[in-house]
Amino acid sequence: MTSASGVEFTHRTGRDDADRAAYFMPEIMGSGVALFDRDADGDLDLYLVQGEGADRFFENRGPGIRFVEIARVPGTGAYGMGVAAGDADGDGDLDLFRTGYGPDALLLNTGESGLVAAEDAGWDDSWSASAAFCDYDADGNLDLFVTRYMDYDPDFSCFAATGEQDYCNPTDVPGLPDLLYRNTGDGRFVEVGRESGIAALPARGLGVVCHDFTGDGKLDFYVANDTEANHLWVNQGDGAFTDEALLLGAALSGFGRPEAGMGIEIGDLSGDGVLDILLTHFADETNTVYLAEPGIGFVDGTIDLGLGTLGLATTGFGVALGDFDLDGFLDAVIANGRVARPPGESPRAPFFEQYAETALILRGGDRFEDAGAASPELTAMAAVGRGLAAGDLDGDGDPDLVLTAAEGPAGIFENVSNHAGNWLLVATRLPGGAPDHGATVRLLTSGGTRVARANPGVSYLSSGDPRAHFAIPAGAAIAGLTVRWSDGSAEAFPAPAPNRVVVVLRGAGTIHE
Amino acid sequence: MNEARALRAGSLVALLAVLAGACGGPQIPEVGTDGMEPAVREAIRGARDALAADRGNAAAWGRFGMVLHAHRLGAPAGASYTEAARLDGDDHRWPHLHGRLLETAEPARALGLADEALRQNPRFAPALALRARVLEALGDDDAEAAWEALQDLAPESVEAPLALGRRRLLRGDLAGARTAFEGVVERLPSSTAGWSFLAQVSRRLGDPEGAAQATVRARTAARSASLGSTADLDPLLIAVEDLRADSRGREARARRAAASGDHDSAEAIYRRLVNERPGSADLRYNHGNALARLGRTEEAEAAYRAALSRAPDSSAAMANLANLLARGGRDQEADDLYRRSITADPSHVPTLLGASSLHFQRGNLRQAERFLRDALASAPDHPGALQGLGQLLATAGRLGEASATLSRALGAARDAGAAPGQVAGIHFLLADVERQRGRTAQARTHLAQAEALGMNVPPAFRALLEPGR
Repeated sequence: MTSASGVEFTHRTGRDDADRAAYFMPEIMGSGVALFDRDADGDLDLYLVQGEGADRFFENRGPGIRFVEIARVPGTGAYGMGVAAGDADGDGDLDLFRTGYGPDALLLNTGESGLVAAEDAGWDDSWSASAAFCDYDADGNLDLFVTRYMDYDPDFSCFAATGEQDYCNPTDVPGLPDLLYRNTGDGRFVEVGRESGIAALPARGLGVVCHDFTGDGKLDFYVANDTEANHLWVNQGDGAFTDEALLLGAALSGFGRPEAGMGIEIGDLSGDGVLDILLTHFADETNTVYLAEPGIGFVDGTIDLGLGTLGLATTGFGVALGDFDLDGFLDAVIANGRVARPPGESPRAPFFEQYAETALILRGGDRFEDAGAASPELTAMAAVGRGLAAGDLDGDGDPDLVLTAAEGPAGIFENVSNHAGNWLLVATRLPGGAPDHGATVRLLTSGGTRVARANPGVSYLSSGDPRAHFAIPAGAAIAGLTVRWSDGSAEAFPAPAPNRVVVVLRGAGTIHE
Repeated sequence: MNEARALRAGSLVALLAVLAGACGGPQIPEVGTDGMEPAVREAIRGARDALAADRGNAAAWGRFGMVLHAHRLGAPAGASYTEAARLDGDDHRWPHLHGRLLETAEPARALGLADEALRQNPRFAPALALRARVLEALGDDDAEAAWEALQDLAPESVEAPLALGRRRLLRGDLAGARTAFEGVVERLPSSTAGWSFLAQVSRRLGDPEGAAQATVRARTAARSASLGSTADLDPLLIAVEDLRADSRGREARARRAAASGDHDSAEAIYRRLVNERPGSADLRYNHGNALARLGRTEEAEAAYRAALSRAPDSSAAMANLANLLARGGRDQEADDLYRRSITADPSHVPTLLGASSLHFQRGNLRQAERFLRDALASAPDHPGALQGLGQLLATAGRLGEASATLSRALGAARDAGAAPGQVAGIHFLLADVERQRGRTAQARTHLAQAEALGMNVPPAFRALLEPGR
């Protein structure tokens, strides 16, 4: 429904530009999308990062899915990659952090006048990918983790096994240490990668998620690394982080192999009340599930959940977990697109068609099943799928999707599933009014307890709906709600009625609609 | 299927085969080679011409399939393997390679092909490994039995104990899992997966020290491994890779040339590759190694520095450059580099050995010993580190410790399959230590063993052990 939505955006790689090196690697990595309520009017606005050229910002002017373009945000000198939303300056509204091949930028929300690039604060100017805001040191200010992909030189050429030039295999190029910026609370971000220990392990980082993975009340960072062991930076509470991914079983696949990690999602896939991890990967690798087992670490649940063979033929990037049909089971959507031409194929026009694949739609249950047939519009979109963000764009209680593609149009997909149950959206707010990224919401119902993240920083290069989404099986009643805030504290709230958006404020103990 | 139906089906297959033969057999798959590297085009054309000249030859079809497989041209490679298997139903190679080709894309078909290969050659371990992997990916309960069968058939397999250990870990049999993973890293000390699982299981068994040590080893192994494969070596797949004619194929050949001591060939191939892929730190590093082996010190130094400009934290490049500088008498520069390398990776054994050697030669035995003990902390059975420590202890006059350490070095070298020259060297050192301890009989025994391994023992030393001395 892209045209009807009012969003007309085509990612521009700049591949044919005269001064562009052939097979410039950032162009095949695509760019991201942010869903965020910039004007605090209760609905999700849309920001699309452009590769070569100006980003685009659209305001949600529902009812239904209807956007109006507000601004073209001029490029910041970087080839655009990812975007993260968060209240960077602590003024209660949402700002954006934009990553790229070149200088990153903080875009401050100035209210009426829109988004304005903050003064250059010495942001990184190498190749950064996904970013995530969260308050890792619990000082009330949102800090920022930025993954960096690789130390890439555009003059470096790579070749397929047939000797034809193609985009580089990541193993051809060394990775870089990721970056951690501590928000000092006075409008400054200080890079503390070295002091925190994060700079000690360079790797080809792509996706990142901030969440308390160890259950100790402190926010950790999980990073998907391309063709290398993933990192789980466990927060030691004193500003230091140690990578415990190998120790906890979240670094390598269950077969002991490093995989080409791209996008990350977290959700309770095993129904045990703890958030698990879903990682997207290269073709010939599974989209891998790491099931969280408190006290043990993680166990590869890929095969048990039916993902041993589903998706092996495609290369996954953006990923969204959500109960799209409100039946009580988390479904998954994965944006796919190749990073190299099919073996033996020489380049032909239109060039990017050879890299196009269709999205994978998986219906949840005891095991995932391919549900592509139920979404013909989405599965008909052959594209070099990259960014993917899920969020309730039309306020009907189910998650919709925005999918971006390298050198392709962004797709806005309205969720038209039949609702098998009721729903609830929970917005978690800090006393200043900004969303508490990294909070976990637990909903108690007569049909059992469900847990969901209130955290937009998932997927690949993208930022989704920051509200926790719940499906409530038909006939089940809500008994209560508890929030584990990002500072580690827990708070109980009275049971809200279903089929509405509620706002919970830290420390208030009351619920607002 | 009853006998009559089987007969009818068999007749049909035979009839099709005859018809295919009468029509000159199936068409040779067409492969568009426009745009390919000339060497690749040539390799494909050569295999195709050979096949066209002998279309009834299974091996020619198989080889054409392998050449296509080597260049990732999966569909025509598969068709060629199918025809090779049709022409020679007794050859396990073609269904096995076809199965490897389809292992991840079409696991169910790959399973059938693995079974076919095993029917033709039940003792072909790589086909059994393929079968086990596919069963596991499909979530089939028979996977465990397949891994056990592989372990029985190929006791040297690393893949089988790794898989069985994983399964024990999932069942909560932590002690059993630990034993399996210890077996993995004993057989393959560079197994990232083995160390990683050992770290997990050690942590869960309440052994944080063991877990931390295994984590360090896993990271070190991951850095040195070019690919994350956990599969056992498959000689048929290696033969396929040998047919690669593109730049990466040449790189593999350069590695093999270097391993076999043909450094001239290795240097020539790496020189060409460096020009083709100037951004690769690995190629610069390997080129540096080839140049160093040829005694072309200045060029080797330049190559290592070029590698480090692309991968500044490469401990391997820093260690080898430091070794080169130390050999040239540039001790301070070498020492600085060793220290940088140790900062980047405190458990990098070659760096620690190099640093120890430098300090040993400068007479700084205490620091040299510290480096060696650090090396042994991360690789307790490293023959070179044990040998170095034994030598150092002997020099320091700590003869009892030297004797014990060198004896351990001897066992470790044998276990690691060290070259006879290295084993002979340890015997010689032991002979000298035992002589100094007044244990002449033992000294003579070690000396004899050193000589038996081809060592030319200096006459003056032998004279020291003659009766009456």
